[in-house]
Amino acid sequence: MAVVKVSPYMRAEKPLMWLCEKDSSAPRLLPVAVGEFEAAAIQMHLGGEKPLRPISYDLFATLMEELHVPVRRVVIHSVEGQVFHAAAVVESDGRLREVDCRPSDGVALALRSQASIFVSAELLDQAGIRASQGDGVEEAISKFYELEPQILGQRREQESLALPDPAQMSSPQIPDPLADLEHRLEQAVICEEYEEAAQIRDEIERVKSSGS
Amino acid sequence: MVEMEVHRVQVSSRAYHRVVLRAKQGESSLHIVIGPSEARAIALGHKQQESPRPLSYDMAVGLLREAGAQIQHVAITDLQDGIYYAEIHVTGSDGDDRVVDSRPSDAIALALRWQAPIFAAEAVLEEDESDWDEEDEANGNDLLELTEPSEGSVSMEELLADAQQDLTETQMLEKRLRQAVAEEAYEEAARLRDRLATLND
Repeated sequence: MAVVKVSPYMRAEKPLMWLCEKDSSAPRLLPVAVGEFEAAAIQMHLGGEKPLRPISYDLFATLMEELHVPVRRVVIHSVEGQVFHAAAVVESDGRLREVDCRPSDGVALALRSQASIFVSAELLDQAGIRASQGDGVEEAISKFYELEPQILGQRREQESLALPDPAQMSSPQIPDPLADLEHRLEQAVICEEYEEAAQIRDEIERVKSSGS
Repeated sequence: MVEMEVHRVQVSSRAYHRVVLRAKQGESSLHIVIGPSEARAIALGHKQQESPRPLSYDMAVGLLREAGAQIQHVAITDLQDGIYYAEIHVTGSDGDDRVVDSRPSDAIALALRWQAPIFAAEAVLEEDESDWDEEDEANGNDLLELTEPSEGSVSMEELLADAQQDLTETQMLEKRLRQAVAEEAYEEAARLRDRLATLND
């Protein structure tokens, strides 16, 4: 399996880690709910980000490498209720040994150890999602979210927040009653007079809302 | 090197967590600002409680056991630009010793689960900081109740950025102050400025 993506952080929902069947003409997907930190750690690796200091999984991967005990694979083997169970498999003294783990921990470690990720065939039959014919992986994932309008609504909300506020893009040629306030705000911040800054900020808000 | 023990793990209302180490003998201490999941893992390890599901550190302990390795000790060795550095000293099944670079939070969380000693270099130790403890006492919650980050507005990026390095309190407060100013949260900025001033006295 390959890790495709980790869905964005959502307020009410846990992030989902999406695994995708490798080397298949009609790959199946397995979404696994994971914790925020584990999701962030996986996303970080997928995004090619290098942390300034090793995070926990970097440390674990380095420890095993230094000890010459390679992590061979991580297997997500079963689900009980909502809880998935996994095991990390290491090779020590020529023998394979298993350690129980959460799927997120296992995957975050596997990605950093160049280990393969497996899902048991039984589990994939049980909990996997098959993309409709002709759909790519991305389409299949977005279709999944369309079935979850609540989640999608929250995503839209977050996206709209990221858009620039049109009010702030108004033309600068018009004599600006805000300029003086903005200048005073800047001064207050420089002088670390944050109580005053708070008042000026509120004043700016009032001017903006009455002016538009 | 001075042998240390975990005195306690503290969390305040603004997802600001730290671990307090005390010298086993003597007065010196060490306050390190750490990420929320690391704080939780250290609190569980400190109280020798098991998490309902194995945490990443429990996986690491399992991996080390299967590897026939031994954690000899961990040490907080350095402080540079407000970031603490640590080492894990581990012996493999071949009998050779290795030293692996680590964040102090990871080193402490592993040491507690392995019952390995925790050391700190004299150079990183602090004099007693008693005026801080009172306020934190008031804000302190039991970390074991904290299962997930409580503030809904914290993004994944922020969680990750905060958890990446183990900082000094001054460094963390300055970072928070810059963030507060950028977000025009000036009431918060004023509070942080005052706490920084107390700390720098």
